[in-house]
Amino acid sequence: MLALGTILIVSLIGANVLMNCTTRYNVSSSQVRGWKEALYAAEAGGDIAYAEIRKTILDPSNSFTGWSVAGSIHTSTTTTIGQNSLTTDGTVERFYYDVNGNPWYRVRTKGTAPVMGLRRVGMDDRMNGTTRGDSLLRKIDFNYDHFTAAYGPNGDGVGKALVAVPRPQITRRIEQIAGPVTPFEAAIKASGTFYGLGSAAQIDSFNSSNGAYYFAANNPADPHYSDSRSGNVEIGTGVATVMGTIYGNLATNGGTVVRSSYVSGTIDNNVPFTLPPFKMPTTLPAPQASPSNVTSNVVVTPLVAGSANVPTTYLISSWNNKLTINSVDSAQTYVAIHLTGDMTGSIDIKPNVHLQIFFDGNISFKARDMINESNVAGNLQFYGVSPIDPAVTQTINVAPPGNFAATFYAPSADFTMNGNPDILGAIVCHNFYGNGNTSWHYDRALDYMGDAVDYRIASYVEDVR
Amino acid sequence: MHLRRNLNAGTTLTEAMVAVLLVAGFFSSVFEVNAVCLRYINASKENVAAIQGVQDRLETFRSLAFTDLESASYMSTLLAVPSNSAPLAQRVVETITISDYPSGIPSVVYSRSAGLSITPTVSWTGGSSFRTTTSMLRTNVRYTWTTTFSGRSRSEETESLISTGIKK
Repeated sequence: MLALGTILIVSLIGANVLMNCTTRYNVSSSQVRGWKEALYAAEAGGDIAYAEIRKTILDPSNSFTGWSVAGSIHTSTTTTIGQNSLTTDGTVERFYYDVNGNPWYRVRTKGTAPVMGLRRVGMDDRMNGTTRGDSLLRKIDFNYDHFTAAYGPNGDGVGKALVAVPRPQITRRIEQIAGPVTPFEAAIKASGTFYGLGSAAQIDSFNSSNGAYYFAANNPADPHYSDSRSGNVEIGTGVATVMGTIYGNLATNGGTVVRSSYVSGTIDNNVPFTLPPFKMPTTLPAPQASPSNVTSNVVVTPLVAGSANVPTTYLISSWNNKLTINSVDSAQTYVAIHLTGDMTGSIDIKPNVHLQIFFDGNISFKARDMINESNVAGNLQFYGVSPIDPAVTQTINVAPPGNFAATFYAPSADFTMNGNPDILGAIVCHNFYGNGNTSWHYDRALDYMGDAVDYRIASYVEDVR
Repeated sequence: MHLRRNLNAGTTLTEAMVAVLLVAGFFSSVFEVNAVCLRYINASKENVAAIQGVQDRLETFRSLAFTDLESASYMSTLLAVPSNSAPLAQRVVETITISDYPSGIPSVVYSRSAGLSITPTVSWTGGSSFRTTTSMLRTNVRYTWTTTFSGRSRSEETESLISTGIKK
């Protein structure tokens, strides 16, 4: 009896050890894997949604194909990935338009991973006498979807229900905010070659929100000194001849800067970047009936002031004369023009007018003929719609005399500028050539202005309920 | 009739054999339970290391520039070293499959044999590079190894989708 008792006790100890081993193995392999893979699935769903959001800019005709739409919310189908059959789905909500008229998106995705092994929680719950930790944090759904039961399917407390799960699983939810990337982050950004400017040229910056431009880049005591040294130049290749003084940073992709004393900021010769083709926005309102061309002097006063995301729109086929655009009374007036041909004419936009010109062809003008009466570069924005054939290059030619305040975003265009203009604004182009002693003043108000050219993830949080 | 216990009587051979068998069976059970526990512990350690390894690799991919993820030369250099410093990471055969999503074409498979510094073999299907229009990639990481105790072949894998764009 004594021997049998001893065997029984030792056997119980052995069984307990075996059970502990099994439980820890179950937690450390099956449940931890499920926990982490659920997040991978959620992030994969987030990336699927993010890719669709980017398509609204880069490939508008194919964005959200296969998604269902209700109002401003797109809902995806369920995607299954991996050997472990991870699943993910989510929604994309257009929840906000910023001052530029660019939409912001809220992406909510959930990822679900099956939990293999025993239907048993871990042994290491107890963090102290009253608090339990790991297993509760992981919230494994052994029998029922705890989230739907406690918070409803959308997490807003609506539609709470006890829903059985087909097998033990872990679901994790993330929310990301996708915000627009605006185009003018540098004074000059060229994805191809760069030549310029003249040896006596200078590039600096200011902020039109603080008033008109004045030179402050050599005066640290000036209250606007901090805005004066952001005249950045970014070059996407190593083929660059950089002259003049740059009050800002200089970046190339494999270049060697030899006149570094003329660059006030940092020099980085390892900054690769590409500029995706620019597609014509699909969200503009239908165009007005007239004018349809500017072959004689034309004066336009829109019927309504509009807004950044609902501007008064015109479709113009040719432009070789002068177009004047008035504001609606003294209201901030928003206008968009789609120019399907070339532009060789001139323009005069009055104060309070915000004009965007989307051009399919080429532009050639004298600097003095680009009259922006507010002198705020962001009020006159040119966008070069990339040709369908990538072998075709657009051109933008600026000739003397005169000065101008405007911005150009034309990733498929070669920009050529002769003379010594005084420029307020920014340009994004393919190849850049400028031979004059230009004074180029980047307006820091452009940091957050302009049409979206891409989207970036601005925030990421996990719903840990 | 009064029965008296004979204090000088010994155990019979049968009794002794039964006792020996009981003790032998008991200790065999104890040792077997102990061996099972050790195998569990070892399997657990290897599995956890494998899970951590494939997940470390996947998280590395997620933090890469998209152009680097598409580049066979960059990936070959990256994969020359194990995904982490765990001993198991040097014992596994690592197979990484990266393919265009959703088309699946082209795809590239990097096969890394066991070892500390190993240049993986690269095998393309449906092309020799990703298209410029590729905006999403399906990435699959698979470990295959032989367990220490029982010599069984085991595998662990994970998968995710990664898009291009500004996410950092």
